[in-house]
Amino acid sequence: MRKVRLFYAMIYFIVLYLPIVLIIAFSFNDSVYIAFPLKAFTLRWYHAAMENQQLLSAFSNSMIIAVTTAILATFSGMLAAMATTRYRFRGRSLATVSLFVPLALPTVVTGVALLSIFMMTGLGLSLATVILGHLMICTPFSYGVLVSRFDGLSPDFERASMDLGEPPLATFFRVTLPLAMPGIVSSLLLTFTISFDEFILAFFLSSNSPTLPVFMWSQMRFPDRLPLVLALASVVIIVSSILIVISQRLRSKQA
Amino acid sequence: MSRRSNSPYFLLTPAMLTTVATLAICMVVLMVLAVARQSYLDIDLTFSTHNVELALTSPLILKLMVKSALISFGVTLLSLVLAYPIAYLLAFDLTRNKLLWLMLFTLPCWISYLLRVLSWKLILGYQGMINTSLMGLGIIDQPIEALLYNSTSVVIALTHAWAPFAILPIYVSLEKIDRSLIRASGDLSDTPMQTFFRVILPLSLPGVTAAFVLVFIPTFGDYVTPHLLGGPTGVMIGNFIAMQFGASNNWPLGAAVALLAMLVATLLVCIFIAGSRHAIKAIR
Amino acid sequence: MTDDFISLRSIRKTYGPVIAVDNVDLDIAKGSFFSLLGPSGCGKTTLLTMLGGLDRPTSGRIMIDGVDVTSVPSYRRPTNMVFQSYAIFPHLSVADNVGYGLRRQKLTRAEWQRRVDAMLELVHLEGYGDRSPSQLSGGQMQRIALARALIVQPKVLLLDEPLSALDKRLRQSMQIELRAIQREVGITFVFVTHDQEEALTLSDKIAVMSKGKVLQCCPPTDLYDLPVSREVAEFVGEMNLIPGIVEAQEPGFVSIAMPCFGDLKFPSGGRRFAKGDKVLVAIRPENFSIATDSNGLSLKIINRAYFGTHLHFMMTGDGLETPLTVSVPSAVARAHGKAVDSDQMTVQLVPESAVILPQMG
Repeated sequence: MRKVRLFYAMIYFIVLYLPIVLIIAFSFNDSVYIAFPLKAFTLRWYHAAMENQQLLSAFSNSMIIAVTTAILATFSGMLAAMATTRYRFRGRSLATVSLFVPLALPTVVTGVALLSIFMMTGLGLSLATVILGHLMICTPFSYGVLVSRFDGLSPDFERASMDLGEPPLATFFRVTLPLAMPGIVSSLLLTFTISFDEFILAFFLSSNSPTLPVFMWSQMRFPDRLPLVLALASVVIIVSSILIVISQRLRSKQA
Repeated sequence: MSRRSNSPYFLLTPAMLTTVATLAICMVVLMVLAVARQSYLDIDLTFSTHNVELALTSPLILKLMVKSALISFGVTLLSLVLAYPIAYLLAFDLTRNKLLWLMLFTLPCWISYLLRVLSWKLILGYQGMINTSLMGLGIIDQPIEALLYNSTSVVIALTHAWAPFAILPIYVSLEKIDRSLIRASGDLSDTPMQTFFRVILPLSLPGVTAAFVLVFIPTFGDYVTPHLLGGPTGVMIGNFIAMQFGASNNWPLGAAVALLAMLVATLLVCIFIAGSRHAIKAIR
Repeated sequence: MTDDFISLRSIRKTYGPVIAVDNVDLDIAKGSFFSLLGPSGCGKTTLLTMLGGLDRPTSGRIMIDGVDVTSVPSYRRPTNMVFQSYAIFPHLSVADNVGYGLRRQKLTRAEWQRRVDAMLELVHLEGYGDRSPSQLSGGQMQRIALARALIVQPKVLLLDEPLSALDKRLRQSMQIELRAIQREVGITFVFVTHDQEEALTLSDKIAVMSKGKVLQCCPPTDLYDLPVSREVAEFVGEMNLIPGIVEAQEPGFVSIAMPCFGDLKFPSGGRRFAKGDKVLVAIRPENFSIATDSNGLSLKIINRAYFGTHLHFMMTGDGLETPLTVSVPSAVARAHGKAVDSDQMTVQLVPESAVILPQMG
């Protein structure tokens, strides 16, 4: 039975990564047509991507959104994690559960709802609206990562610091923050990646300043732009994977 | 702790504002919209049940709702079945580098969903990998058009995209099972099959349930995959909703259907949870 | 030496319906080594954390050196704590751990270093300053925790079972060292432990706690020789409890009818009894003697255990509900030929060393 499972896992693994490998393979293929057999190796799609002004502006939009989202989500996730792991208070378990509620709704529903809010209140769409949408889905992940970090951290460290004369704020900076750092970095990388790669909310909320995934979506309609999209996709996939691997490693590191 | 007792509420405020509070406003706005009317480019906010009635009675919406439920139910079951052995392998068979393998099997979860869907176009497309290889081997001489732009291709791509999400919760619940229980069951002369169905599966049910919710909810509302791969027959309820807020420009109807879709998804999840509890009891 | 350097008045601490500390009054003398002794969950650690300001009492008052500190937060209290988990900061070096509390004093680098080195010397860890805490053994961590707490020169040092994680041999040597350090620095130590032997060895005074209440507070010898209740008697050391009924009381003495032993006259220890009172005669295993004459009582030996210096016998007699434990110095036992084997032994109860306790409570 064990051998059967191992064999199955091997097949599963190959099928899991095959599409990703194909994207990367075709991004180096010297042909406008995405068809087998592969032609010669080329870097021209990457060069084309680097020179595309629309792409570069979408990239900078995505960077602004993802960096801001990561910082804000990690900050609020950390405060929430401190609240639920360091205090016993009325409504604690309700708070813990309700922070994950945004993940229990289809994104298309939250997307159209946020769009309605911004349009009906006359706020209009901007990078800030995408950030707000992304905060909603990133905060639960940040909270989850940091709760497990704080759970593994004895409250005795903070108590010892206060006992040695440091008020709460000084204790936070001298003890809590350094000890939670692996979790904080892990959360920053994870939420950055989620925000950077997110498409559905960005599609509804970004209007005329598209993020990178929205830009790619718009290019998919044109068959001759597909190789460029693949080059871009390869970079995004590789960078995302590296960030996630680092994030997970930091997460599993013991306190 | 000697800090003021209201400080946890203080600390929770930012996270609550961006999640729960925003979500609550979202729901209110959808409800307000659902009972409004679209008049050309403006929205008439006078109370009207027109769109709610339409959402509940339109045969098209009903058809899309049923199709979405069937597709995402199928995708979810397939995902659970495909993911379970992997989670089992990670929990019971592997002893070294468990976390590394777990990470490798779930890494694609975090990689751009849009791109993973796109990649299936490269495989199933008119000049995709399957067609060109089959033609190269001389098995067919015309590309098979049926591979892409139907509900099967949607099911394949969605399952591929979401099955890794099912691994993690199932793995966690399997990992928690006390190994002595399994040995005890073996001692009581259960066959490995019986042990699985009478001990392991029931004990991993919380993980399976979590995995179900994790896969079912997003696939039910998905519109990217149907849009890219579904063609005319692969349209799902998410596409309908997105369309009302886009080309069709009927926001109140979109809001009504969005709320309805949300309720249907929640209801179906509850039914599944109740059903699986029942089924497990029957096995015992 | 003032007796009320630290005073706790009507201290209560409740967590919802659970009463952790129930109306405790205590006075602790300046410069003394004071122990809170009790089984886990008796409220001793809660009492300690309230002294340190890490917990706030639900009601009651805490005074330290004449100042009411009840609502003073831990970072402004003249107390420091050695945690059971040590709580050595893993992200700081040993020296930075020891010098952690000095930041507010704004010392020069050299002065800071001098103070840290002096503390490391006090706990015999000279030259460990640059190490990372992960390279330390349990005993070393314990010393660092002690040095870190002492460097800020608190008026009171609070120790929460600091030796419980160490193995027995290390624990014993740390006990001696702890007492030596306490004498050297002259700071009041409040020490929490569930190990009665440890409390008896170290303390000037011990408060025995159970279910949130202080049962007895006195010097260790009194605690051992004159327990005030059955609970204290059973918790501290080994104690034989023989039920009896008061026959008569005369000045300074009380006559008690006991099963097996018959009527005996005991010193009343200032207590008043009435005829017919049900009492317990509490007597330590070592307060029996092997009798040579006919005054003794012949009992059946059901078990024996050799402890090197002593032999413990488990014995039964007619009418005794529970077996008696009798401890005899090995040399004496050998002289009587009881060390090898025999199934009877004549013992004598020494009434002067027994304590009469009420049967309830």
